[in-house]
Amino acid sequence: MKSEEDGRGDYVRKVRERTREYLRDVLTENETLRANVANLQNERSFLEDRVKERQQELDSYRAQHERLRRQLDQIEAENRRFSEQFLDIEQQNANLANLYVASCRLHSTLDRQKVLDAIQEIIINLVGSEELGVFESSDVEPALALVSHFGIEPSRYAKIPFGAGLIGRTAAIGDAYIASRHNGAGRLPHESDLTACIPLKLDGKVLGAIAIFKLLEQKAGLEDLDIELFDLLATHAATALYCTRN
Amino acid sequence: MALKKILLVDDAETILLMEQMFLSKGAYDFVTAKDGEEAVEVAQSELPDLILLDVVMPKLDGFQACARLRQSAATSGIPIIMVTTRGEGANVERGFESGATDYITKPINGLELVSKVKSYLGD
Repeated sequence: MKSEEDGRGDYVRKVRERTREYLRDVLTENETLRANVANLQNERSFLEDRVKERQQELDSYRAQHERLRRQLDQIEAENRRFSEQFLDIEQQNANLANLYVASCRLHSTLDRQKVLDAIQEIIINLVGSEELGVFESSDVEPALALVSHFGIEPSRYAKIPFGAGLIGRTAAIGDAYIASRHNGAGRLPHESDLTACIPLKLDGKVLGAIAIFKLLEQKAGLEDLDIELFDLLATHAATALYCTRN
Repeated sequence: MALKKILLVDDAETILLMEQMFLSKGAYDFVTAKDGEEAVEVAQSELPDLILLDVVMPKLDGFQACARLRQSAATSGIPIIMVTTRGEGANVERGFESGATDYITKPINGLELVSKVKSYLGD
């Protein structure tokens, strides 16, 4: 009986002993876990601070990116403007080159035939027409006489009285006729393809005219430069032709 | 550095002057010829880097001159830009058949000419 009680007592002691050990372990584990939680909280706080810092950096980079993008847009717009201006200037240079060459060609000789050839070359190569006639005013009657031609039937234009048709009217009034800008009333049948007629004037007096008929196929119409060339021809071709008169 | 040499061929003095004016801003040397026969001779003696060749010319027209230039070993590789009054397909096709590299039409647009020349010779 006693040994049975002793056995139970041992068992209870052992259980208590184990329970105490278990409790110690649990408490130790608990301490460890508390320490871990504290560490993790510290770490979390540290990481949250880092995230905030990174977020601020990111915001700053975004703002900088936006600023740079706006600057880039401005630079690109400016670049486009400069490119357009550059093209404009290049075009103006090309136009000036045309006018310079035309002027050079007209005044580079006192030979009548060469001046007439130069006028033809200017119309063919600079204006872009292979149908033209150059007329001079007659000394004996108010009429134009054909003195040079290219690509037209000369017999139809040999003599044109002042005031007759668009060419004769140009000579009579001394103002250029441009088909795309003026009314073609009074046009004669052989003037149906007339694109422009330029009076050749010196000191306000009409010395002749240049009639330009069909333009080359690839030339859609007269441009501003052509009108400037006509202005140049009106005086310079007249002067050049006048200087070749004996 | 040696300047790139361009042979300008046209029987019209106006065109020769114009082409030189338009291209004068580039670093180019110019030689000229006034007909197809002279163009072939000058090309063989000067060996230009590029030829601007008119189509309608006395003695030898641009197509014939171009074909002759292509037959000669010395000039067969030179880029030839035909300068034509007519831009119709058949005319352009004939230019390419005779060996032209490219073409432009009259009246010459200065910007187009400069751009085409630059595309073959660089800036």
